[in-house]
Amino acid sequence: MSQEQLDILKRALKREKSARKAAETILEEKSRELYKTSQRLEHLLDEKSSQLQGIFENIVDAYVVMDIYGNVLKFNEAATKLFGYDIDKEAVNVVDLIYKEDYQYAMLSYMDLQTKGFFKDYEARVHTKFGQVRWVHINASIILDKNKKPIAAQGIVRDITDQKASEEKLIKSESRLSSLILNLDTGVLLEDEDRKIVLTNKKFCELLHIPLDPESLKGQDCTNASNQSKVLFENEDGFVSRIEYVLKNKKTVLSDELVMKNGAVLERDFVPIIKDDIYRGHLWAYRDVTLNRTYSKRLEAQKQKYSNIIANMNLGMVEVNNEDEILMINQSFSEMSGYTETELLGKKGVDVFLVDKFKDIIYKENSKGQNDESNSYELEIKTKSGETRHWFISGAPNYDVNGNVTGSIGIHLDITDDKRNTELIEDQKRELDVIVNSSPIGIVLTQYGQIIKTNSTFQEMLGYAENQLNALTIKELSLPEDYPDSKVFIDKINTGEIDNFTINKRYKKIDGSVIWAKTNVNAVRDIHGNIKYQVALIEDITSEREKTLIIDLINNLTKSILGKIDINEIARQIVNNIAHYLDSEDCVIYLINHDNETLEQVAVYGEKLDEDNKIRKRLIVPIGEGIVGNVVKTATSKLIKDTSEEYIYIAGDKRRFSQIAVPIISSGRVIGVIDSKHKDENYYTQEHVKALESIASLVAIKLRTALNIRERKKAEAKNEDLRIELEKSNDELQEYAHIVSHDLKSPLRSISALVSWIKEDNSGKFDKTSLLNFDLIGTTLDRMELLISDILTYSSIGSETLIDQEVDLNLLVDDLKQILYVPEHITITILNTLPTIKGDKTKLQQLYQNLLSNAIKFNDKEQGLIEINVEEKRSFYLFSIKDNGVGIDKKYHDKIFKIFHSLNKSKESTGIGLSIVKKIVNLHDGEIWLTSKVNEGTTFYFTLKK
Amino acid sequence: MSKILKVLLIEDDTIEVMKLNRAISSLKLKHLIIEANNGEEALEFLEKKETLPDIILLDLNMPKINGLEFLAILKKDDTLKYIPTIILTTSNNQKDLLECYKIGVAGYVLKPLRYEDYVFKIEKLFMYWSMNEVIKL
Repeated sequence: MSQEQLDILKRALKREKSARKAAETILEEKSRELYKTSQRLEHLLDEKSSQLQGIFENIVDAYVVMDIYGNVLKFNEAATKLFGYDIDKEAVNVVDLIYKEDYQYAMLSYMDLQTKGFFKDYEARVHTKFGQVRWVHINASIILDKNKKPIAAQGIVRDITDQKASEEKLIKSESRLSSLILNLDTGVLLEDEDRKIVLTNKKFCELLHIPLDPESLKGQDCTNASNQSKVLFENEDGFVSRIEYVLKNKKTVLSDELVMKNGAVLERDFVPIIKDDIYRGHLWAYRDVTLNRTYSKRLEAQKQKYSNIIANMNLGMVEVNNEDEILMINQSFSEMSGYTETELLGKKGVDVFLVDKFKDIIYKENSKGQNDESNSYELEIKTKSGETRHWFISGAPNYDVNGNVTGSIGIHLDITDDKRNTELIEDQKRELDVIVNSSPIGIVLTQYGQIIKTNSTFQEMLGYAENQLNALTIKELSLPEDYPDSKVFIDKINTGEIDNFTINKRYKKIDGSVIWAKTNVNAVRDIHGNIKYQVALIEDITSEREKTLIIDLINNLTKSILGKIDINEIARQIVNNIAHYLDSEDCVIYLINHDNETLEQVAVYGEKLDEDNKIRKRLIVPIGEGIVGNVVKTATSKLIKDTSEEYIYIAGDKRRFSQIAVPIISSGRVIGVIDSKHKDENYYTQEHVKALESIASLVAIKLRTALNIRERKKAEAKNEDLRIELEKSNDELQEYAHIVSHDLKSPLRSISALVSWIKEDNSGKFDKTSLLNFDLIGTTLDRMELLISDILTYSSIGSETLIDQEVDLNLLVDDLKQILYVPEHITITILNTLPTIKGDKTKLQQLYQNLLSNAIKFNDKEQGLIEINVEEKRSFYLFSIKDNGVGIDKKYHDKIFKIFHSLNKSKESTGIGLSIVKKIVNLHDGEIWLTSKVNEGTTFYFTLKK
Repeated sequence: MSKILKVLLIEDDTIEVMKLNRAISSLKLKHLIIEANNGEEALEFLEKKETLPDIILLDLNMPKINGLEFLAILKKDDTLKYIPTIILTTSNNQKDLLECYKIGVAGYVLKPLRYEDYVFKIEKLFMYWSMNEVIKL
């Protein structure tokens, strides 16, 4: 029952009640009036009674009069109708009418009637004649006689059964309604015109997060409620302003959408309650539509997604009827085929698109479609432009509502390009396979290090069969020493930093030997960048590497020993370079010590060196002993694959299992050995031997030279010692010469003094002969003095030289001309200007003095001519002193320079003068010689360095 | 006027001593000659410091302490180093000459071979030194 209906009922009820009340009031007043005035107006009674009777008889409600025993005296028409009894025909007692359960209540009311004289608002059930139970409302009063003795009672009985029922209904529906409202899934808030809450429900509290019982909210003022609740909503201000707006307008508003901060979406209705054109309040209804919203949104998104997918897939869709006539196509199909929908409608696809040979297929397939089967097939078709395309078609039957097949729907996908690509890929794959298999480079495909595929080149390279390789990993084929280098790159590939790298590394062949290969690794990635495969291109570079290594070795070695002369340094460079080339941790150079026929380590590499790079234990091997000693003896290289099989092996610092030893041969003689050992057996190869032999011959000369230099240095050091010693003894000799000359000169002076004194003391006593003899003593003393001086000069020439003085020979000769006694008849001329040279001035003066004095002394001509000349040569000066004197016989030319070989024993000549000259010239790195003709003259030549 | 010099002659050769004495007397010079046969004797005399000579005539070639050694000792003494010392020697060794001047000598006179030449040199030597102012200690 709606609120409106309720209201109507209520209003009707109210109206009736008030009408009855008015009537009852009138009745009471009248009866009381009647009673009071009955006596006074007795005479009027009858009149009045009849009047009253008329009134009562004519009122709508039942009017009953009974005696004091309850016997009904009078029913009006309404009462007769209500109770069903015709009191004229049958006697009725009211007790018979009372509904049993209401009997007590009826009795109480009857007591009231008796004591008070009336009762009011008695509501109880009664039995009608026909067994019906009716609700009645009774107001009753006592009728008294003239003696105020009750003689009867009268009552107005109203049938309220319908009213009662409708009231009950109302109560029921009200309670139903409120419980409905209370439990409604819509939040309801009913406010009166003053915004006081009339009604609200749980849902409302729940939706707006009000932690209270809805009942307790009744009567609360909502004026400020929107401000309290706004925090729940996304748009706080919007929420408040909207409420204000709606309240102001007082117009019905439906489905306002409110988004809450917790993601919920509410829908709100506003219904104003207007009664009799007066605003009485309003109703707010809140619904949670979150699910609806999100669901529809999701649905929308999915729809969008699938339509996108279909659009992007370019799937052509065609609907046909059972006759294969086209009923509908989509845009994609139109694009695929080149036809518009209008062009195709009603046509058979088979006729439009197919070349004859395919028609059978489509007929067959179409019949399948109609036989309730889905099917897929590939077709070659012609588009409108005549182009041949490949379509992949998937068909399914189409049904009507009754489940009958009405035709089929076909999905068409143009696979022409894919097909072409697939073919192309197939072709390329075949070509690639050919290339891979005939490639001169080994190719390996790996996944997580596991070999998946190899080509024949790689198989041959390592000597494995394909299936053997497929069971191996790259790691198993590699050497552990190479891991660190590879790992650096592998890590970079794994992190995506690089896509490929090239590395030179070793692989183990099936026979255990090792090859070097240039390995180019490429990562093949999936679309996520994860590595799917690795493709390695592997090129055997063992022999090239060998060559390069040898060339590098020779280059590096040559460079490193260039200009070096120290034997230890050279040997050290050799072992370092060779060890690097051999990739060995051991290398030694032995040199032969011929003094004791042994081999001595001059340079070692690796562990044989101590912290200061000194040889830990300098091994000395007798020639002929051990492998190295044997190499010397036989002058041939030795390659030992396993030293444990060699009885002559000499273990050095530690046991090593393979060894290589090559003699160093210079001028046909073994001067040393290059030796290297390795911890592994079978390490050295014939290539190594060849390389080392090349190196041995390359360094042999250098080592020989270095050895010679070492020898020479030893000799030089010895010479230096001797020279120092000689110098010392020279100096001593010099001193000695001085002392001797002093000791010799002193007696001469004494003799001179004594002779003088004898002469003085015996003046006039000696005869002429004696005096002459005294003179002879004097001359002899002079000669003795000169001899001593000359010897002293000669012996002094070697020492105390100040050879790097700047000496102007012109000045020097001019000075000499002043000092020397030059007789009148002799002329000294200087032809060319003499140079300034470096030398010892005193000694150079001595040189010229001796030569000039000889030239003067031995000139027998009337006009003596002495010519001093110089000629400038490239690195020296050629000096000459020419005279026209006595000349020297050729046979004396050598002798004259020798000491004490005076040609003319005279008082002025000691025979030392030319010896001194020669010695001075030699001291200045010059030569002296002469040309002479007896009686014609002599020319002395001498050279002095520039 | 020439003054009379007190001369210390250090000479091991008797004839050389005689030569000087005879030269002085023949030259009629009044100089006082103090003779020392060797360096030790000379040092002994000099250490007394009572009568220090005006000049010293020193022979280089001497036994025991030679002339250069004696000179070095002399030059190290705060008093004696002021006494002019003249070398009288037969050695014309450059080394000796340099060494002497380096240590500090007042003259270097070579003994000539002939006695006449010797007298001539001695005369000039004394003439020179008798005209010089000498330090009186």
